Amino acid sequence: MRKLTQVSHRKQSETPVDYQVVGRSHKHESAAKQVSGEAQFIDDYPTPRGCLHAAVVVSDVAKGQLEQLDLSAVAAAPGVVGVYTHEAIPGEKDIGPIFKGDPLLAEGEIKYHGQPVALVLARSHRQAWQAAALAKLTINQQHAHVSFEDAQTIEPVLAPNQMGQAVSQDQLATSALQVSGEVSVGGQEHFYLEGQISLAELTEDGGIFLRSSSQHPTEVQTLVAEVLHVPFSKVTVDMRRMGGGFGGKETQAAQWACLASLGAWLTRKPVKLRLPRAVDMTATGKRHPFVNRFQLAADERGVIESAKIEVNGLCGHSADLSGAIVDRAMFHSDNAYSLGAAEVVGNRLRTDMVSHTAFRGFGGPQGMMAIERAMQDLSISAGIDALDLRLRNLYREGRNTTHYGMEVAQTDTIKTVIDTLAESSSYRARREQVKAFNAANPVLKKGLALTPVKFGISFTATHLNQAGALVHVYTDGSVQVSHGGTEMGQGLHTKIQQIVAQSLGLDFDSVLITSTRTDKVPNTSPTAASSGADLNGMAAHNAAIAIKQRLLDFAREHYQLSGELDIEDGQLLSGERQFPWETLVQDAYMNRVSLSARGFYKTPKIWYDSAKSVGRPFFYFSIGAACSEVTIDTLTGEMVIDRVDILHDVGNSLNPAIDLGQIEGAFIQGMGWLTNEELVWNEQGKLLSNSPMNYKIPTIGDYPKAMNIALFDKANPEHSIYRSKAVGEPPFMHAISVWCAIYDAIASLADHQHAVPLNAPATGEEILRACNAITQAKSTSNSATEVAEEVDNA
Amino acid sequence: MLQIMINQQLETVADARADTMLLTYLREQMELTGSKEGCASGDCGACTVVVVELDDQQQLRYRQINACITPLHALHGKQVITVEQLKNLQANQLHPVQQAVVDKHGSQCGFCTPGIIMSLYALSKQRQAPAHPAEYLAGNLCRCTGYGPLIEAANDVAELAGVEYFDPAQPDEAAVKTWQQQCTTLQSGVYHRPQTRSELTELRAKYPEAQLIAGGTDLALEITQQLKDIEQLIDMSAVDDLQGISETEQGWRVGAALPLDMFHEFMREHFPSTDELIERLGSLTIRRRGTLGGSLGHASPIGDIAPLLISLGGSIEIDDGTNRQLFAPEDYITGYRQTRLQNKQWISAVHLPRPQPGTQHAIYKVSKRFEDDIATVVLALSLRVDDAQRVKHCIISAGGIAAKSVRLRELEALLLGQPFNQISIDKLKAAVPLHISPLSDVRASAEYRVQLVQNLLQRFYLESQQITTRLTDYA
Repeated sequence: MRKLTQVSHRKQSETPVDYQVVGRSHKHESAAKQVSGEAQFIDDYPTPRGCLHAAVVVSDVAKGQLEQLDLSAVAAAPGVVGVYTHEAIPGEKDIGPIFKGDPLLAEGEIKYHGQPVALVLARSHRQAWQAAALAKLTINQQHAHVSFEDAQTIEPVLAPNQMGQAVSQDQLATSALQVSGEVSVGGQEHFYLEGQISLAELTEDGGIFLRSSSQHPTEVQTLVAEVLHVPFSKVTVDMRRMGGGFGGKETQAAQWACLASLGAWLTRKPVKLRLPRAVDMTATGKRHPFVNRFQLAADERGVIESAKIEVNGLCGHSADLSGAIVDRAMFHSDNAYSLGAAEVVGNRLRTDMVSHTAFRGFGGPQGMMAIERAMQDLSISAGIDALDLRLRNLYREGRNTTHYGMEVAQTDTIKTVIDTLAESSSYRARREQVKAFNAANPVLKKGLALTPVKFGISFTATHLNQAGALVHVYTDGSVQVSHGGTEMGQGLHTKIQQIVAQSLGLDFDSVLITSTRTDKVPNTSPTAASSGADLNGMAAHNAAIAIKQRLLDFAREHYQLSGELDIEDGQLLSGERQFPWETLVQDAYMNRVSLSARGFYKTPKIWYDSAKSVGRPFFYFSIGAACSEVTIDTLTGEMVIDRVDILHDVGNSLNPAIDLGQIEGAFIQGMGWLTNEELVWNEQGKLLSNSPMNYKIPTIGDYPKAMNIALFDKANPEHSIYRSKAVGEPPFMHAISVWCAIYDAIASLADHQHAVPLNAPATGEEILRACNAITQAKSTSNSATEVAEEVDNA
Repeated sequence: MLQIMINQQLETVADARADTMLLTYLREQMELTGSKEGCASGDCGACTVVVVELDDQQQLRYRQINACITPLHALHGKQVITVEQLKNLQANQLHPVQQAVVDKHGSQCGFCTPGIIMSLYALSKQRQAPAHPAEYLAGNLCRCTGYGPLIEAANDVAELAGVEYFDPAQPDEAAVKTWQQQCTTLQSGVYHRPQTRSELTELRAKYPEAQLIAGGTDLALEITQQLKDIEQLIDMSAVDDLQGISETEQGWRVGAALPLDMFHEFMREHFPSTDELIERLGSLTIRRRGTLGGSLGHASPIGDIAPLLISLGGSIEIDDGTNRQLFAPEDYITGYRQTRLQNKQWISAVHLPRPQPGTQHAIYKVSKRFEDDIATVVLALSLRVDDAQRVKHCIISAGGIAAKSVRLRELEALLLGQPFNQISIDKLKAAVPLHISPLSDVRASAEYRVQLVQNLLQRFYLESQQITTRLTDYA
């Protein structure tokens, strides 16, 4: 049986000796509460008195005009308290986060299958959803644009843009080698285990107190205020933890928060809105599917001289975050390679489906798939091992400027990471073993690939790169922190707890991180772009050192100390003298020293000129590499992952255990994206893969047979928080090594003589389709060779 | 009156609807919100709890189930242990199972965690450690960790299995046992749990509108996904006639209410070629509740059991309380979710003949995901050759290629009397597109399904030639 036998040796990086708290593998701050069921999610809070439960009536067609909406049966259903359409909205009816185009409730035009049309309030969750199903919608159905081909015929959601200089066909033709192709890259359902949920209560000031499972409480606050037409100050959002987010709760938690708030506003009762799984999967956006085209021109050794890449994001019915997502796909269509003269074009195509949104990597993975597929194709044209081709094309001395004009600082690190991994994974020896295996096995074929990741860290919208934090020291010495980031499992609160404890000179347990609230830290950015610890950690650090400095200044004067002063392990140290932290704090309080501080941070050095498409959009790059070996069954397309080795650079790790967890989790999630997770829409624009019964995220049985993960331990050359590096998204793209290994296995069917027309996800069906194509190509070229030989002989 | 022991507390429930699920009751009535709803369809495992009940030897056994699709009434006379029970609150001390997950950094967002803990708790209570402890987590989806830490935790927890230790979550096993032994049968006006064939017959006559339920792993979805109200349920799982496995002249009679996990144990012993298929039938958590009768009763076109039975020459026993009838599975299933089952009838058992010497049997399942996924195609073959290596017996059955599970007699005819060699297989493969016309759907295209049937026939032949064709085979 295909079963897990053992988990590999998991190497943790050496604990840095410099710090007592930061850099150590503290347990997740909520771990004990999570395993005991005490960690509360929004649906777990005691229901407020009189609470109503909301449901939505949704459209059952993808595109059309709503001609008639008969809600009489809904209103008459048991337990129903109210049914409302867009007409009941007192303020703004469009909740588009950046661009308009996202109606809170449909106003006549139906834009996607599953679009909310009316809000139902009832005494129970079940009654509300049962009633919602009774609505009668008469929709004048129109043609839904679902496919890539179809989407190209209509107005895009946003204008296209270009990075780099135009590259002509003539220019490409001057090189010795050319490859070109198209790769379709599927989207992905977030499948956060906790579905979308909000609980809204009216406040006595005529505002809303809202709990929302959201990565972006500030945006939820502002949108709720706009929908209700009240000042932002009257809406407070509280967010303790999400049961997973992955980008799916960056903009798209807002709709449910606004609807719950609207219900509370209209009825003056608390309202909870929780989406059942199938509704969540239908009515919320996903990772953008992309179709990418590439042309690479290289010298005879495979060194790329020029490139032309086009990335086409299928955005759904509205812009949502698609502008920035396609930008990020473009920024990463080079991955770690110098493309020479490069032209990268990004299109944001409209489809008549739910608006696709942020998902771990934010377009980066889809962009990277363009170049990694192209590298596999080019390695076949150049007749060299794909790893050698990749090594030849890495950013390097003299070729270290990206197509958007940013210099890649750590070119040596990229090279070192790959070389180290090639060594530790025995890539070269295993390449020979794979060849031998394939020669001996007619049905099963192995593939091997080692791929790098270079991922830019910072929001590409420069203004978002700011953060705030609030640190309070109480008179017993205990410390409470609130910051602008949200906890969705990634361990952000744990890291910030470590940072504040370290920066104040206290132990880990002296610090408590509380829920994220818009009334404590205002005007925050979403917890996204892997930036949570970089931004909020630095803000919290700034607040902590402000308090510490105040205390040191006070101590110097109050205790008449001279020389060097510091706080370590909860003791103020001055030469031989020691003062307990609690004493210091109490003395400071009695002497009217403020024990609270607000910290702020903005990322330095970054800028971007979007008119010219040049700049330094990223503070730094996160770096890593992965090596995967797979076996495919050429009769069925089934696949197993035999071994994975990952080496990933997190700078000086803030918490090695949490960073390893992020790397491993991201890899498996990426593996799902590129293998089994397939979104299927029918021609009418209805999502068929709308439940866990027909959309399959990885289970424990999909875990690779061997897995080795290591941290590449090297300080971030940029001045980031304790010289760490962001970790949330970059390792997701290590899964591309799996896809490339599948490519490699299929290519072996034709002795690596033909490029493999493999798309993503590489489901069993896709693998078998590509096997068929490659077998066909081989037999066609064999018969062509035979014909040529016969001609020669004649 | 419905009586359930929830953790250490005896609950007497007066007025619950027949279609109330355990999870709803725990979260909304008991305020035990540790168990989560992630999907309400038994796919994610966030709601996993452990049910404790008496086995044949009057010993308590611990099995994890999905609270989201288990009717509350089905737990009458049993104990349910939820995640809240594990931690020792007075001492503020985690249970060893919880500590194992904390130690391995096995929780991130924490939403799936209580379900993970309870599956691991069930693992810790087994009388001996299973060969693959992680199988206990096959029904628990986690989107954050990537599972590595959980595999490690499962391996640690497996060391508790079969070991005598004081379990703070179950301080007085004897009292639980005594209560269960003394608990009278369920008396309810809405949820009926007959013990005998005649009781079942009477109930069917008295409540003609009532739906039959066994494990409920399929029926419950009508309640939790389609939001149907069901007023009356007749639970088949305690009917004596539907229990256990008995030997017959030709082979075995397997009770329709036998849970699939126990069916698996039996099949693994007597029909090892079916082991992989049954292990991939839902997750272990689902197999703890799902039954043979339930699977066949719903006649799903992609159900794996029907092609399996066809290929083994099995038959389905239908009962109405007076007459028993046997049907070949391919005759019993008449169309898309359509069967010969009449009103007042039920499936009482499945009959399996003893395997004949010299039979080559294989059943292959191809699905998008290896574990806990509905089949794209299931293909089963049973074959015997004569001394001249000519095929003298052949059954080919399939699921996923038509509106119902089918026996492919046209293909069988092509093989019968022919030598079992590559030439015959090539002819067979060429004939496949003429005899099947599958649909394209969310799982796969029609073309892929046709090619799968062809290539699985090829696989069967190659396996007979000792050529490695299975990803599961090679080390």
